[in-house]
Amino acid sequence: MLRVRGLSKQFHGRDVLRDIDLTIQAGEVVGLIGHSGAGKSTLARCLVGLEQATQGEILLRGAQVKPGEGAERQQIQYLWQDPTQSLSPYLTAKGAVMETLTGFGVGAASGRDARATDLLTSLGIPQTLHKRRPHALSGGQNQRVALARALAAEPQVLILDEPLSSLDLATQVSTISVLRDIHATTSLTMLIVSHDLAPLRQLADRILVLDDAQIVEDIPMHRFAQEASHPLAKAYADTI
Amino acid sequence: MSNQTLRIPALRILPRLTWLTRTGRHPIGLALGIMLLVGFALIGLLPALLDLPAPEHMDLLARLSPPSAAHPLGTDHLGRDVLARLIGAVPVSLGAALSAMVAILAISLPWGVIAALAGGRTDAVMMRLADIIMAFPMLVLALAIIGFMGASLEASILGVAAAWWPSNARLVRALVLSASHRDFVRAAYLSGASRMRVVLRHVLPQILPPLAVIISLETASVLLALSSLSFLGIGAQPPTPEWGAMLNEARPFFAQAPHMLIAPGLAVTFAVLAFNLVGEGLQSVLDKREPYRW
Repeated sequence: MLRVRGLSKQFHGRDVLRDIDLTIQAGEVVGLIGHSGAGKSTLARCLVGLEQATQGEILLRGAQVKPGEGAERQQIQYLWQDPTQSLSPYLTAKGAVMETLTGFGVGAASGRDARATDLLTSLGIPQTLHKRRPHALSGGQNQRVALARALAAEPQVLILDEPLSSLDLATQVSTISVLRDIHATTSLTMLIVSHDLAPLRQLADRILVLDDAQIVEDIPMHRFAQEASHPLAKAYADTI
Repeated sequence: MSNQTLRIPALRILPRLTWLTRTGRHPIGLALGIMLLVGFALIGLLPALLDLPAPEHMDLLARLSPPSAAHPLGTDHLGRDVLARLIGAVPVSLGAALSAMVAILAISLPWGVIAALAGGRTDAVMMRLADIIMAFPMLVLALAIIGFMGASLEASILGVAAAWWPSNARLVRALVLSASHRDFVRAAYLSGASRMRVVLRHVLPQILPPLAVIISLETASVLLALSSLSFLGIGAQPPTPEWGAMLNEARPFFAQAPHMLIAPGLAVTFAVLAFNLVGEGLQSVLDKREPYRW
């Protein structure tokens, strides 16, 4: 589904990503883990066009693409680390979802309002909150609104950048449950960036470990504890 | 406030205005500025209510009369009622300043927005053009345009607008650049919003509040500049009542009839003060709220 070949990114002459190769199969959920500053978010942002890679290529269904432009803007969606900052203070929860449905022309115009309502409600946002703006919603509620907005685009790949890091423990648990439900019902391909292995254990099929600008480990989740060989991967495995 | 009242959309602004006066660091200054501007607007309506002579009406037998019951602010060197001219000048002086500000914004707003969003060479060329104009001293450039068009209030408005827009375009560009790098603006584009919608729905709402501050402060400067040009005799021409022109006419008679000078001088001072108070009041209120929600 999504393939990255030889992707590198430099900031001020320093390698942030070095010769990254990765492949994500359709319907697969891949966890990308590493220390802060390892380059996880930069890689995720390169995949949606928020950062421009210094070199390398990104292929979607075998075709080279330029993320963030053309059809790829719709096909690869991104969930931001801070949901509140990623939602416009000028739009209600429903307005944010409607903006995506209208912008990408998803479905018939007459059915978009109902579709927005359904999406938000199915993610646990009751109708009483649909007309609220981000500052009048909790972090967890904003995360679900942002998720509803991303799903409204009907993407092929969803990239989630630290989707749990700004949430409290209870909201983390419910968000993990929501993500599992989404994957169970849609088989959506996902790349989840995290600095913590615990949530990925419940979500990911495969784990990539990023260290010093390179992917140093690529192991299926269920064999991660046994097969991790890189010191950093072993350290993560010890936390399980 | 009853729910019934809030159902009328225009009245929903009222609780927000209450918030404005409650949370501002200098609510008194802001309120005073707004009161002064409202006062000027009401004074502008006075000629219709009071039995004042026409601002151009001359009574040479009563020239340079001190304040009296018949002429509360006295008369000028042509026997014209100073109060009538002062009030008659409100729409002229403030109207000229606001017209110049509209002209400045009509150029600087699209110029700054396009430069910021286009980036690259377009941005560089547009900003270098603005820089070239900014390299001229503002009043000298205004004088050159007035010299080309001939002295008139209209020419001075155009001259001031031509000299003032580049600095405002730079400010608009900086505001748009800052606003367009916010996560929610980039998220809106990635989530399907067109570039036009991103600008209109997500960028402009962010820049309008700080722009309101700039407009208010700049209007004060523009008013001073236009009054200065009229004072120099190259703005509003006789017999048009205009504060700067009134100061110019009063200059030779300062010792003989100081009332001619004091009234328009105070009018300019209070008008500039009003715009500055509103601008600074808005600034102190808005500083705490970013991104601006409204």
